[in-house]
Amino acid sequence: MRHVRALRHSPGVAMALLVLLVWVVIAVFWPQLVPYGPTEQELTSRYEPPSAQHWLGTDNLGRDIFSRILAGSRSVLIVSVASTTLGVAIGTAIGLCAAFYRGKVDELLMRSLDLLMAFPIIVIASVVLAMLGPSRLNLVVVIAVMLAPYNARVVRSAVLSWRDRDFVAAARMRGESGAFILFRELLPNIVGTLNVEYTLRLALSIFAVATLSFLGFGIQPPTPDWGLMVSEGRPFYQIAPWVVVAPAAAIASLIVAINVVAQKLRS
Amino acid sequence: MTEAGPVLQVEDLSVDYRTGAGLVAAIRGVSLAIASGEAVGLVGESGSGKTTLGMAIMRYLPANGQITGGCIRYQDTDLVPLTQRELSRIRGNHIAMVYQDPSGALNPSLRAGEQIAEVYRAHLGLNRDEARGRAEGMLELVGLPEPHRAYDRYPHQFSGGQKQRIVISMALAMDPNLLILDEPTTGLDVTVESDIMQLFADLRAKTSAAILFISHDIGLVASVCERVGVLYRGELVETGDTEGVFTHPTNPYTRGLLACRVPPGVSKDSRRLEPLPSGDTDAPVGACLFEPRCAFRKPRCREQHPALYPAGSSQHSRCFFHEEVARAGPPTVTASDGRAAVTGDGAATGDGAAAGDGALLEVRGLRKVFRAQGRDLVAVADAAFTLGPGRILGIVGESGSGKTTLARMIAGLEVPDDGEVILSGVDVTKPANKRSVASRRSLQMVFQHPDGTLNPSHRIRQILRRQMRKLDAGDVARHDETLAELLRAVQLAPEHLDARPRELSGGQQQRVAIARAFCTGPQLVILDEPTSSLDVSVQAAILNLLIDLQRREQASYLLISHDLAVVRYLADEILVMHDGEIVEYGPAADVFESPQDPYTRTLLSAVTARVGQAPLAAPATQPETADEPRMPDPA
Amino acid sequence: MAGSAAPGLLRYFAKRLGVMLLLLTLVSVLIFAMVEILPGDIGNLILGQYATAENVEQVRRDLGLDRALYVRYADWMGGFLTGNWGDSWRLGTPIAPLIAGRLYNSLILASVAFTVIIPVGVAAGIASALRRGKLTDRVINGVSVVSITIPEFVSSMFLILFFSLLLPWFPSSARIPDGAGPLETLWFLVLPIVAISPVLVGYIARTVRASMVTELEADYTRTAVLKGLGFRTVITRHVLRNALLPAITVIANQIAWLIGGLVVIENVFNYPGIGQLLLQAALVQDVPLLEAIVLILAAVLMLSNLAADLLYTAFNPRVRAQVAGGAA
Repeated sequence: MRHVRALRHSPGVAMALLVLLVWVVIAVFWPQLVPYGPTEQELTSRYEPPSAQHWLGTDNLGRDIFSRILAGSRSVLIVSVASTTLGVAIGTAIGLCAAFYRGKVDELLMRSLDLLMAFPIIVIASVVLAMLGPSRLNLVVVIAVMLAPYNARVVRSAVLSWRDRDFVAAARMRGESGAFILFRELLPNIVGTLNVEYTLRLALSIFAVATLSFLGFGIQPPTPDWGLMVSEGRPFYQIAPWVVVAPAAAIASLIVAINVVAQKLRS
Repeated sequence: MTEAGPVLQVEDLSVDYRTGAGLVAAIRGVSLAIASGEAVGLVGESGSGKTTLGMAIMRYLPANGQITGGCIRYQDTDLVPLTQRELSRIRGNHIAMVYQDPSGALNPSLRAGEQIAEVYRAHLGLNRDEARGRAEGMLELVGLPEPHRAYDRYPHQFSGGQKQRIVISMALAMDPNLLILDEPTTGLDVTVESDIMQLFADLRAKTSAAILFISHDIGLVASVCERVGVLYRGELVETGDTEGVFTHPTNPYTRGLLACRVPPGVSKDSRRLEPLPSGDTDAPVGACLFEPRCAFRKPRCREQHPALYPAGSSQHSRCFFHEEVARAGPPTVTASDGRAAVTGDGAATGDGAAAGDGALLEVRGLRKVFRAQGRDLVAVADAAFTLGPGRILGIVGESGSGKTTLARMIAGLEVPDDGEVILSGVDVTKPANKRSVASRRSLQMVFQHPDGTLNPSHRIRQILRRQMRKLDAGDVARHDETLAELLRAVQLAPEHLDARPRELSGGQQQRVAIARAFCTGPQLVILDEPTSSLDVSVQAAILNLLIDLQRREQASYLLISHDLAVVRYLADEILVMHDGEIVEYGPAADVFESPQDPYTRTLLSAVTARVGQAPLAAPATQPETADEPRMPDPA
Repeated sequence: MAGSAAPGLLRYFAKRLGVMLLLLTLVSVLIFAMVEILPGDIGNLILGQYATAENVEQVRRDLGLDRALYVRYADWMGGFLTGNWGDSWRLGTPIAPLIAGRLYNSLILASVAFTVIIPVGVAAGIASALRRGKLTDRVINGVSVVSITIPEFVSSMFLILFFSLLLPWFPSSARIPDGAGPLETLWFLVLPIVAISPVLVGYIARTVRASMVTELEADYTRTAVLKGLGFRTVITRHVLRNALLPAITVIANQIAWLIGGLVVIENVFNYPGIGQLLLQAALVQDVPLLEAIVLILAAVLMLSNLAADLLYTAFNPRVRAQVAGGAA
């Protein structure tokens, strides 16, 4: 409830939330909202600039860009939400274990994570997806695995900062089990951090999904996907820039909106 | 240089802070003056505004603080309207400051000597070699060995006391006319503190600087300053000669503050502490700020705000009824019989339960070694002692003595490398969660910091209930009754059950922690610095509570503290630890009166050195119990 | 002081280098495993979909893919260490000179980019810290939030739209013609660099700002000011020293991001660097080329982290003392 009141004071955040809400609604209801089928080709009206009939014009196969944009929202959101949730779940589990058990377990986990984090997400993801074959499931898993280390670090340091408080010592003196201390004493205090983490990772996930699709390792044609649309429209950029600009703008709006919310949650 | 006027003259200064809750007044119309060579003390608890005052004089308030009225005259110049550039010519040069935490005060990436030298380079334009020479001179002046090598060292290579000496040398480098000291020894060990205070005494002989000494420690201020001012919630409530203010207070707050201090050389059996009532409700606007807590209040105090009136022999007091306060004299003594009547039936006085009942706690050969950076650190070496039922054992030592580690091993929070802990005949030398429920029930702990001792996400009821449930403490059906009784015992209201820790004050949180420890009827409670993080006025109330509970429950205490006065007051027996070893162990009176070990003697002399000089409120009557020692004569 | 610390530092460096090589070996195993255990048939890939089973089998034998995994690994690593990196399956040409050339191109792009990114990022961070809460800070903060998160390909597209299509100032393809002078080369590189910078500049600016604010509010800064030191002295001698130290580590981390960005940027701007090569190799599953590229990139990353670590240790007196074996 505190958060809702805080939102009223920042118009930027309110707007960002509105943008997010709009996209979510579109992702759910796009079949009812699109004027044309997103894969419907109309070869007689290729490269048409934005007009009354085609609000955002058509692409090289005469497909209505507006419809494709609306349809594309679903795959972006589903894949990124799924991979973020999976990644945060894995990362939180690892972070909790590392922080709670300390010692060798902690060292081993952290070193491995450091190694994983040292590599650029795009590089590893590209190679792995190239080898495994691009599919939605692979995409979700690969991105989740790349996101988990960042999350694990944050969770670990959050738990560590609480672990030495006296109320934990009091719980230990009661004879509470490790699980109790972790979940009933420590976890409630880091929920706020987890929320912030989730939104930050979500932004990163959308970034990765869009980029990987652009590069060709993500969602495959003819499914409408924003990153893919940008990549497909590149060869015709000079004659039909709207083919690229529309999906690019869509990506930008979604990512910026999430980040504005994430930054606000942080403070 | 003959001074026509004072070096520092603060006139009607007001400082406000802009917070989320609006403007908060931190300093209200404070005036004071300090002459050359004079030392003036400023005494106050947390929230009194004393640190803000020091910062305001240096014109270094945080971004949300502003001076809303008055002026600060250094010699003849008003500092308030000056620009930062103009101020930088005065700071470090004419006015200098010594801070509370020496570790933070020094830049970790610069060599110690350079941080002194840059003062000379900035104000005198000296070159590197000249500045270095002067800096080394200062290092020698403050007693650092091998100044030439010390110059090149980094701050982390010095101890806490040495770092403070470096800070002092930076402050005195340009022989300032005004020196502000903000809690300069808080956080330092007692022996280090006495060394630093000795350094101050030596240096004072060499300089004619005016000194403003800000502290919460009345004894310390009394040993240094000729005049003193007492701050309460941003206002000066009493000013005057130190002797007068501290021996014949004319203000209710000052009197209350003096009364709730733990008197030195006195044990719990002979005198009960007099805490100040807590200030839960605010005074109405336009009233005296201290009115809600004042023992002398009258209706007028709620309607009018008192000014500073001349009072006593040489003081000023912000009270309409200062004559009455002065007449009341120093706080009186409650004899031990009075105490027995207060605490209820069946409670034995003085020596506690029959001492021959067999030991409640037995510690044998306890040892703990930590490994850090490839080296072994012996935290506790071969500790052994016994504690009978209903007795209070005080464990004293400075930082690094091992007392906390010892306590944690007994509590089951650390596993000893060697040795045994026997509780009521049962071997409990294992982590707490491996001990039997009965053992866990009978051994509980109260921790130092009130703000970490309760889980911020839980409500008080949840915290206490869980404690009782987990430890099978009595009939579940009667838990609520027990909870209500518990709260009453620790003087909290039933509404507090539904609160979260952040809604309670530090003192209240500590009371909950005490309730939590006692709700299972433990036989042994470990108290780890239970009042060190609390204000003096709250400390007295908590100590009284601990004594009452101990008598009622016939529990034993293991009291760990660095504060010798508190330990002397509470403990029946004392253990002195130094570098992991027990160097002295015996009845409290013996240890304090005739210490055997040289370290104990050093420790005690460091305390009495400053306590002995403090003109404290002498007891109106000398109680004639056998326990009462004579106070050592001041050196 | 430095003299007595040097042998300690050298030992530390040697130890870290050893650890790095160990890790690199571990990484090479991982890379090998990741790439070699793949579904899909190499034979079909090379010969096309209509190849007969026999021919596919032959190709596999030719490429030595029928041997045991650890034999193949030993063969690969052995070859790598002796300079024989094998041939690309797709191109049929030796890998080593190919990678060398592409790596060189990418290094040029990266170096020029960093000469822009680091000063701009650090300056922005310092400026926003010094004026925290004011308009400058809020603007920089807002811009950096946006710039960090927008994928490089999106910003590239907008850049090309505005500065290549609508305003024909820069070329949209960075294929630098042979014999181009430094100025002309730079002209080709402007858009790619502007495209890849925002993420890194934004991140560095935010980190430097946070670091500066912490130091500005530290007790020792208060001491410095109250000693009467001028504002400029306080900032340069006291604050920056402590604030910029962590920035070294951050900048080293950015190299990883940069490499990821290069893959996209080089693709968009058709720049013949190692990122583009990686992409092309991945799209056709050109295994030996892929393995070599990833290993080289891993080595580059580890070396830069090592360098940053050493720089940090050298400049941080506390860590340096610990490392050199105790107090001087």
